[in-house]
Amino acid sequence: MSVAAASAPLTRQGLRAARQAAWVTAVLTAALLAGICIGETPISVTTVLQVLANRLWGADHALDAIEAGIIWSYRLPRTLVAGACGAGLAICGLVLQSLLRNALADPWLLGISAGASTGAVLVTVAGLGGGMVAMSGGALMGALTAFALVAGLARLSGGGPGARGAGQIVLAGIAGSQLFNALTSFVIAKSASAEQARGLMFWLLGNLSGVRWPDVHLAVPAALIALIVVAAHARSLDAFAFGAESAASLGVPVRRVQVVLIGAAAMAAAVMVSITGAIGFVGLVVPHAARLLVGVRHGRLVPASALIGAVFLIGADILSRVLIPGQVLPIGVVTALVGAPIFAVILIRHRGAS
Amino acid sequence: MLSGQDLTLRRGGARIVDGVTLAVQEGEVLGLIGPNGSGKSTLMRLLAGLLRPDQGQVTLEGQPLAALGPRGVARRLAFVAQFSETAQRLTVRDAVELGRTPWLDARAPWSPQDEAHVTHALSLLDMAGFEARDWASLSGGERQRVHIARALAQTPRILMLDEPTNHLDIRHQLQVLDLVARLPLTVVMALHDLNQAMRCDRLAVMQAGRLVALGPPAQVLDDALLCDVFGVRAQRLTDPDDGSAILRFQPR
Amino acid sequence: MTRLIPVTALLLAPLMAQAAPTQYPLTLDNCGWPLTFDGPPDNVVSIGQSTTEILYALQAQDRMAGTALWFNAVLPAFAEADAGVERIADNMPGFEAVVNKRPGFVPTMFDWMIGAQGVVGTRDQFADLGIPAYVMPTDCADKNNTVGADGTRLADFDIATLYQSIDEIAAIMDLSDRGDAVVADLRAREAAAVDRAQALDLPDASAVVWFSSAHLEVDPYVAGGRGIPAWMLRALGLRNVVTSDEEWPTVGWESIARADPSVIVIARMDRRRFPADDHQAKLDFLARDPVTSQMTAVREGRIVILDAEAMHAGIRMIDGLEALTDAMADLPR
Repeated sequence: MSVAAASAPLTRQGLRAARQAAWVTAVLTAALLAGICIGETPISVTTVLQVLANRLWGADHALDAIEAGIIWSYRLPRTLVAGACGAGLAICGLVLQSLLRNALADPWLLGISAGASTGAVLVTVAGLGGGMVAMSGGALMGALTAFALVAGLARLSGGGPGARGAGQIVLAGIAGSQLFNALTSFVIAKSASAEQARGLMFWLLGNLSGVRWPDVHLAVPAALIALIVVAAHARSLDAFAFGAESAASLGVPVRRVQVVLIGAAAMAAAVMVSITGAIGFVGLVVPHAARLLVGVRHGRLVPASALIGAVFLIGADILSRVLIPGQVLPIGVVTALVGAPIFAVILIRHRGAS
Repeated sequence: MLSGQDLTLRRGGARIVDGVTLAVQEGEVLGLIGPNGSGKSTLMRLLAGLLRPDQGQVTLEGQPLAALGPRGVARRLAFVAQFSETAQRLTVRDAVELGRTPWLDARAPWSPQDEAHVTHALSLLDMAGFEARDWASLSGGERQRVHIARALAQTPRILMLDEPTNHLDIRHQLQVLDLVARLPLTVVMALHDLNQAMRCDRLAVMQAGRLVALGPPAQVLDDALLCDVFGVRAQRLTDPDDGSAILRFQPR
Repeated sequence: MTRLIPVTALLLAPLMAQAAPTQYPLTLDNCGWPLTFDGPPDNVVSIGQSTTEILYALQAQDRMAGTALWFNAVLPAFAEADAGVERIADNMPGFEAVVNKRPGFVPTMFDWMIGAQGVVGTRDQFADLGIPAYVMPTDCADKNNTVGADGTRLADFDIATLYQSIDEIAAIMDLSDRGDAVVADLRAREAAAVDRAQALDLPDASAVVWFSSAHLEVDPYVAGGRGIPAWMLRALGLRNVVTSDEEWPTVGWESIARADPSVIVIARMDRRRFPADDHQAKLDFLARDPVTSQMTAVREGRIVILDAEAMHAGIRMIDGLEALTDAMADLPR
């Protein structure tokens, strides 16, 4: 690819970039439209388009207030946050996989999402306010604590690159997840009832049903910032292919890049978890799918992961709403149903590789 | 060219490298030898700026490494480690292109010159036909050659190799050494095989973290040093083909 | 405003009835589990506020060793009785804390407390120690408690199971005369409330009953189509817009708003585990949310606040029915 790009005249490069941008826009728009058109209750596509026309271009279609509200205030923010969340988690997973050189790295498997949940719950319970920004801050502290703990545990138990290291870090992640999920349960479970499970389910399986516009204003910038920061480090991430020392010998300021990228990844995961709870397997599965499509070079892998992550989670959210008529599944159930078998495939393939 | 003054690195109380002062001269092939655990690899990493010494300083072309920054160092000096593996499905060309990393940034994107450097590095290692091969499909020797090609794509002035012939079959060992000898570069390499070390311009001998000898091979590898440092007796044979000296070792 | 409690009737009722004393050993079938009582049990440990208040209505407090699982303050009429009984736990008690009282009888209002998969202890665990554990038929008859967060109804809830529960508890305690009186009183009030509601002649009206939500804006959990609130709505001629068979299913606001019920019933409770436990927070949400604020019931102010405890199967259920009837009569038409 790069051979052709380099030797081709600049106009052809520009043309290709334009075509790619058109592609991305088309795919994202289609996913967003699908997310808005498909829901718990049937609303015609015409109505959806009229609502959008009214809101975006000041058209004046006469519409049922409830239908219009469902489209504009429920489904659109929900779909946008699903997209941002999918992109953010995918980028987070990609960064972890590349920096830790571990195909099984994922914010959920490594306990980072669990740590973020604990942080968000603690902030709420400590009465620091249920505001989204305070919760995201708590989630970030939790996510970073969990990452430090899991990375430390993995290192102490002999984790590193390679198959054994992959196993160690996943084991450390399980320990971390269990610890932080237990802490979350401990904080929430001040009393016993079946409803306790409902409060926990939000944090353990994810839930997009409460998403409104203010969440969009947090999730979309967080995903974009993560995308821009990570995309700007695409070459550095490439240089990590043969490990941190190799990256250092290629002139990458390893420590600084690690801090910036892990920080961006944890920020993205924490914001998403504080809005939607912990959604599993997105960060694991999406980067692998993206590698199959565009290869391992991060210049293309980062934007491709973000796009596929966004479309994947919007799709999973649609599925969660239509899989069982009249009932909305927790989105984490859908991502796990898709993600767990893929996780198994990666596990088996990596045994073969080592 | 590249020099270290009084380099010391401690790990857990032990001095892995202990007060080493060493100057690499332009254009030479300097071999670094010593028994296992004598601090060869660590000294290489100190000189390459991959480890920071607890004491002492490394200068490259007259400037301290810290002043050059990681990119500045990587543009002048390329390092090939002993074990460097990846689980990613990189192609040979992908891996060699990584060598251009220190020359690229937002203002200097990938250019035809970068392309040319990569192609040239591949051809130097006879890997022109291998570009599309997957990393996983390469043999150990091929991987080592890709790593060296990647290092050459950095267009460095100094090439540092940590036991480049390790794990290679004999044909590829000779191929790598011949290549290194041909390159118009300053080369520093750690070596295990003393006969291979005989081909270097100069040898630096490490023992227990200290530099115990430095000079031309014939001068350095005398009986006393072989006995003292490596614990062997050596007989010198002469190859009737080209008259070069061959060492044959026996337990002390 | 809806907590109208004619408990005086309950307290006076026992004086008026005469039933035969219980013949021991007493055996009965409790949702498929055989239970045997050799004599009137002592040291009763009651798990669940509804069960406890039934025992207080039977004036059995002197034979009780402990209570657990409270949702609200005890009914004022029973405050004195309650003061003399140890509260083992506000919430779920531990198994040892219960058996340590050497109870002769452990009744509960919820199958998931001591049913086949009971969280306090399973029926087997209690049976092994010779302790008869009893689940009120309101929560185990025609109900599958292994499906759904609070179980799933196999048939519509029947008020007869409440009367059966009171009868059985009274028989076990050898207080059948008091039990008969309590049931007779509840039946009479039920009939009166239903008569009044039918006299209102509500047009084809629908309702949703919002209990709480895990987070204020997420999908709420609401009364299912066959549970206790659904029975109340049906008794009053109201159609529940939620048709799920789960006891308290989670239903999206989108579905609820589209169904646009004519009345919204919200639960009031002392508990503050979730922000939406506060009925004021529920009211604020309904008024503020861009979609729910457009619902007919919200715009026309047809929101009824009902005590959460009245939505459990117990003597307060009839209070709930009466309160709902009163509220319906007062609603703007």
